[in-house]
Parts: sequence; C-alpha cells; structure tokens
Amino acid sequence: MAGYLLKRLSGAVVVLFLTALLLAAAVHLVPGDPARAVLGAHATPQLIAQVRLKMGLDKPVLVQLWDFFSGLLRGDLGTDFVGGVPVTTLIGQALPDTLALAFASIILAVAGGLPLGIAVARRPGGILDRLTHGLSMIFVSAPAYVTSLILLLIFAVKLRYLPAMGAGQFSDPVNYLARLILPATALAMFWWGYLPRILRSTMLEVLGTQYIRSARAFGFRETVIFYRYALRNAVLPIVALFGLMVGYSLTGTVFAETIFGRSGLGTLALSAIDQRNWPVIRGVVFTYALFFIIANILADLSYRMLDPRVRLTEEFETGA
Amino acid sequence: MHEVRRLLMRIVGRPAGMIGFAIIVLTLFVALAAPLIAPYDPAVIAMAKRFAAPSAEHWLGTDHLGRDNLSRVVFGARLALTIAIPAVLSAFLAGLLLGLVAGYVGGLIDRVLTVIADTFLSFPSVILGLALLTLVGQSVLNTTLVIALSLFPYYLRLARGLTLSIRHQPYVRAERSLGAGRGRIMFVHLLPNILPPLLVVVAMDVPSAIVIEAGLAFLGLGVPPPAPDWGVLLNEGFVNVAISIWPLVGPLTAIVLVTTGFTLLGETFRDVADPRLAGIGRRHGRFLMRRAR
Repeated sequence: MAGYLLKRLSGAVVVLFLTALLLAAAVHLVPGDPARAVLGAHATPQLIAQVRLKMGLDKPVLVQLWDFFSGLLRGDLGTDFVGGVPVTTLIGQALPDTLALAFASIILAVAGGLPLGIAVARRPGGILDRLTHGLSMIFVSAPAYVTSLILLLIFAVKLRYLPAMGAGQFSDPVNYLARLILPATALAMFWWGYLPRILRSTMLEVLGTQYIRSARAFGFRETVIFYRYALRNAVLPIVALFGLMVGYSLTGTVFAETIFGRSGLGTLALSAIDQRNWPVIRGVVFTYALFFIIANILADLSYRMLDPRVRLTEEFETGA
Repeated sequence: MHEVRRLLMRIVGRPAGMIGFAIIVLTLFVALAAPLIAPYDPAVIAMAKRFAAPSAEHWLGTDHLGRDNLSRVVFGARLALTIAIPAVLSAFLAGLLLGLVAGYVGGLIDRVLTVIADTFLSFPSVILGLALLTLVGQSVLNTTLVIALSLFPYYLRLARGLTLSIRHQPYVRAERSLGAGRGRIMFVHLLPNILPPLLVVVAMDVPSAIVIEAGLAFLGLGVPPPAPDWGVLLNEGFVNVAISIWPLVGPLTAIVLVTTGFTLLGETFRDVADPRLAGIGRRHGRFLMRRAR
C-alpha cells in the first residue's frame, strides 16, 4: 500500500507539473500572436501592447515559463490585468462558496441516494424498484445545467418558494444554507439516480453469496441478514465513489453558480473570460485541476483500501 | 451483418432497449429531416410576436426575437449531432491508435502517452473547453476539436488497457513467432479484438459530447449565437426566464430525451452484447462521470 501510495503521489506530481506547463504555455501553443489570442479579435493595438507588457510576453518563452513556475511554487498565480489584484486573492474569495456548494451537494446525494437504494434493494422487482428505474435513467442522464434550470423554473420562477439568486453571506448562516438548497439539490440529483442502481446491483450480488446462505441456514431473521450482514458489504463500492462525487460536484458548480447567480470559482472564471483576463482564467483552471487530481487520488485510494477486488480491474487498466 | 441484426433484435427485445432505440432513431430522423419537420425558418425574426405562449401556430411559443421555439429545437438536433458525432469519432480514432501503440510497443512511448492522457484527464472537460475556447475563439469547428481533445484520453487509456490484456495471448505470440511485424500484429490481430468494447463506449459518448457541447454554448463559449444550438437556446431562455419560460421547455426536454435514449440503449447494449465488458462495467461510474465533466 505504501509503495502504491508513493507511486500514485509521484504520478500526481508529474501530472500536476504538466498541467501547469500546459496552462503556462497555452498562449504560445495556439496559432498567432499570444496577446491577440488572449484579447480576442477586436482588441486595439494599444491594449495588445499593454497586455504584452503586463504578461511579460515580450520576454523569451522559457523566461516566461520560469516566471510562472517560480511564482507557482511561492503560491503566486500572477496578477489580474483589470483590477491589479493577485489571482490567489480572487480565488481565495471565491473558493469557500464553491466548496460549500460541492460538499452540500455530496451530503444531499448520500442522504437521499442511500436510503432510496436500501428501500429499492429491499424489494427488487417491487413497485418502488420499477418506479425508480425509469426515473433514475433520467436523473443519471440529465446534466447539471438541465437539473439546475428545471429547479429554477419550478421553485424560483413558478412557486417563488426558495431564495434563488446569490450565495448569501456566511455571517447569516440560515440564509446561507437556504440558498444552498436548490443548487445543491440540482447537483445531487445525478446521484439520486445513480446510487440506488449501484446499491441494488451490489446488494443482489451480495445476497446471493454463500455466507448469506449460511446466515439464513442459521435462522437469522431476514432484516438482520439484510442490514447487518449484506448491507455492509454492498455499501463498500459506494464509499469508494466519494472521490468521483467530489469531481462531479466541482464541475457541476460551474453551471449551478451561473444559473443560481452564486459567487464562486465558476462565476469568477466566466467573468474573467468576459474580460479576457487570462491570468485569472489560468489560475482558476489550475485550481480546478488541482482539486480534480486530489479527488482522483482519493477515489483510487479508497477503491483500493475498501475493495481488494478493484486492484484486479486496475491492473487490467494500467497493466501494473 | 447477421450477427449485428441478432444483437439489435436482442436489444430491442428489452423495453429499455426499445425505448432507447426509438428515441435515437427519432433524433436522427429529426436531425436529418429538420427542414421538413420544422414549421418555420429557425432564424426568422418577428419582433411583433416576441415571447408568445404556445398556440396552434407556435406549438412551443416564440423566443425573445419572436422566432419559433419548436423550429429552433428541431434544427438544434442537427447541430448537436454534427458536432457530437465527429467529436466522438475523432477522439475514438486518436485514442484507439495511440492506445494501441502505447499498449503494444510499451516502454518510453507508453509512459509518455499515458502521462499526456492523464494530464488532459486532470481537467474537467467543461473547464478545459472554457480555457481553450477563450484562446482559440468560439466556432463549431473549435468546439468539436475541444470536445475531441477532452475525450480522447479515455479512449487512449481504454485501448491501452485492452491491448495489454491480450498482447500475450497465444495467438499473438504465434503470429510473432511466424515473423509478423509490429504493424501487422497491431492492426490485423489486436485491433479487431479491442474494437467491440470500444464501440460500446463510442455509442455511450455521443450524449456526453452533446452535453459538453450544449454546456459550453450555455456558458457562452461554444457555438456562438444566433445558431439554434441547444446550449444557445438554454442560455437565451435563461436570460429571459423572468419574462417567459417557454423558450427553455424545448431544449431542456430535447437534451434529457436524447441523453436518456443513449443511456438506455448503451446500458442494454452492454448487458446483452459482450461478457468481456463486465470489467468495464465495474468502472462504469467513471464513464458516466464524463458526461458531467
């Protein structure tokens, strides 16, 4: 395990380095003048000259890459060209709202998906199972912006029930939580469709094993067998999905933030794109990649720790 | 051909497969026959009729410029598929070739290709798309390329894994001892064997590509307006949501319908097609995830 951890972490560091390299070099990789690429087709020559100077585009490419990396190691992602604020400050302001939304959605996903999955697995083929099957296909298929827009239409436009717009302030916790409900639900819906299906299939698999048959032969009650013996094993793959949930929620926040008018990394990126503020775009994209890489490591590690069977699949995938 | 027909019969024999198949055939039909089906020209502006509610003339009402919502959704199907299908196919071809080479040749080439794939995988598709489209500019072609770029690493990894799992099979060794070259082994012997599982993923990725494409356009960075792209329609509908909800109804329904159709078909296909896919099924979560990324 320690060896695997070391290998996995060093792999992640390499990927992170390349991610940063890709972002640092991106303006030079697209054809044409980098300052023009950043500013778009309609920029004035003065503005282009100004940006070229501010981004150090007049220096040799290797010097620019060095500047970016040495800054990165000091925790400096550059300065935004519009307001002159350090990019890390902007990200620091936006990050809490995004993380709050991502975690709220994960909590809702588990709080809704797990009990539903247990209920479905209790009576496979029953009414609830058949009813949720069709619905879960739709939930799994609907992207985050579709669920967000539908919730916005139903609750905010038609019923005027929940506060829809903005993230609110931490200093007013009740209001802050109320504003999380709709966007977090929108991001949790995928899992309400997905978790019950997974739990149902793993539960059926587990209920067919020898040790459950033995437990039955010993005369344990069905509920005891179900909850104490079978469920524990069936829940494992779901615990292992945690890393994926983080990744999914983080991407979903871009849409949920836009649709519900929340502040956060996604809206920061989009407003930076509107202003053609490349250092901010680059910094935010890097932050997403950082969280994504961490989430993927968590996913892989939890898979391996919790379910040794997965190691076989992994070997199949990586040829390790 | 006979086998394909039998497979199709088995898929359609299940309710989920039947519904999925019907939805996809319908989508393809709508996309191909858009000018015949759409009651109006999707681009004709009629300011006098802005934000009309549904009526006999305009089944789904009109948008903020008085354009017919239904006609725009119908033409949107065409645009969605003309981006999604080439994007997925080019991602598939690039990933297949590179993965085959990485898996069979191995060594340094393998390590370099895997690390490149992992680097692209460390960006969520939508985020990578946003950053790249900012630099290269928004257009149909650029959107297609960006989606292909964000999907190809999955094919690379998958093709590589499948290649690794069969490269030491007796028939491959036998071929090698008979003096077959690398190219012959890779393309004549390995390729046909890793193709079927990859094709399932291709089918399931078309909706992923549609979702990414519409998502980028919704955020204002994919296909630029006034194209009747589903993402553009969602964006315009969202901006005017306080005035009328009707412009949103069509594209929302269309996206849910098409993605659900592909999901149903893909799941049924995986169930009936090939026991070799069981290993992939375990990792299914990963594939589904992509849709949102």
